Amino acid sequence: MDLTRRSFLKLAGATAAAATLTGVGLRKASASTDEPLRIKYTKEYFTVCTFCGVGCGVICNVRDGVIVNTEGDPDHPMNEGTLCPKGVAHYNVSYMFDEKGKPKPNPNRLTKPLRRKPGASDWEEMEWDEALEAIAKKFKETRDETFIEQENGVMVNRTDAINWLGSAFCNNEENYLFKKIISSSGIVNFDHCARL
Amino acid sequence: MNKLQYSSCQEEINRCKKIYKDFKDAATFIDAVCAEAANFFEENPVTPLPVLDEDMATTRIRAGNSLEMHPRLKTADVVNLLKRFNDAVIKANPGLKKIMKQVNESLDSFLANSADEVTKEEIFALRNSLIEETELEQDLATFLFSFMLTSFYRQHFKSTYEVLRTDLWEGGDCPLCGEMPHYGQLRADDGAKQLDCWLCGATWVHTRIKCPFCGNTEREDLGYFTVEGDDKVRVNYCKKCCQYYKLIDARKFHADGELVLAIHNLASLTHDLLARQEGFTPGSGLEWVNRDETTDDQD
Repeated sequence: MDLTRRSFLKLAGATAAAATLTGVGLRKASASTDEPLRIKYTKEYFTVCTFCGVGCGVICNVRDGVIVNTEGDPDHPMNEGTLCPKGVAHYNVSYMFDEKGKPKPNPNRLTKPLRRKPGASDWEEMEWDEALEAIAKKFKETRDETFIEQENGVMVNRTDAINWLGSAFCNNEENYLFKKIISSSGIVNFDHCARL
Repeated sequence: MNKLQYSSCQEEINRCKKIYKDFKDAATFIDAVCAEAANFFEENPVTPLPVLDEDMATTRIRAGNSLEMHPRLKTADVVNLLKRFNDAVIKANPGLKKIMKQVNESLDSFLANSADEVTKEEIFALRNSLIEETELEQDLATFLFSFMLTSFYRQHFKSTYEVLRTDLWEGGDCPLCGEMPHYGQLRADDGAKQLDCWLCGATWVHTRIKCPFCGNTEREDLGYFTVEGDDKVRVNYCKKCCQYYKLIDARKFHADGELVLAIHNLASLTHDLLARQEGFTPGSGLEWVNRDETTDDQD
């Protein structure tokens, strides 16, 4: 053992206590409780708010695979840390609070397509492929059945039977493709949910 | 901004007494040290460094180079201020008189054997030799030396802060002196991660999900921990370099005005201990935990 002056002093018991921060009142362990402090690990993930086309930056705080908080991303050029009331409530898309204030998964959140069969009173889950195929089939049938090529001798190439509602949840590229489908299908009744 | 004013320290100590458990006992001591520093600089005013050439400074900052400014300090002043702090230690705990006397003797010897002016590196070498040769533990030595150094640096840089374009700085180290940060805050108004230099007091905004030490942005490597039931202090870590720094979440206590984070750092040393126990080392190099607090080893 390398016997320095310091270790010699300690071995000889030359001092009653070493000069530490505890000696002047700064405790590192809590003095008010004997229980060890429990720590919680959390990770931060960047994402983009889906509520509107602005595309504000959001930081999701995730603990044990569960989102515990969402907040505006201060480094994002669009919102610089701020969020609108809907963006602030982004957390509630996934979770809501019970009577005791504890978070629980939001039961109203749809995670799978639902359908109600003709005559049925309840909704039932279906697979995405099945749902998309059914929608495409109905869409084509309706469009073909109601398509108007000429009106008063003028070519109009339209259908009045389909209404298309765009979504601010969709990004720029998706909305571009939607408009292409709308125009090529002859849909004239289209709108946007206009959350801005 | 940046200069440690006694009145701001007092306000911060009072605030910390309300928001941190077990800080009350230390408050009198911290207050006494702040008062000693304030009196010292009133009696021994420091001439600030000349105002920086703004264009040169901005060019360097824009290029991503810290100014790496370090003033040379008068040896006699360094020793005298440390001795005043030592007096405050004895007042707080008369049982430490014998050890602090040893420290003062070593300081006298340092003064006798050093040039008129010393660098930060020489001062840290003195700190290390005191830990080696006296019963002064690492944590108290870190407190005394970091508080002494930051007091001098902030006096020297009084007229430098105004021309420093920290808004152009994206690095993790301090744009002014190049030191690595030990703490920062999540600003109350926008949640931005604002790092504070423990040495010169410069502040700058750093990307939230990025390690200031190794520049890692891999989100799976980065995270933070808090103590259950208290989310005011976060210990941010990077698994790639295994280093940590602390963030005080100013949004949690609705703070008005500027925070003196040096005081919050002292009030949250529990988190330094926990970080060390979790296997992380301080990226700043400031060791606030004694060896026997993390292991059973005794030297």
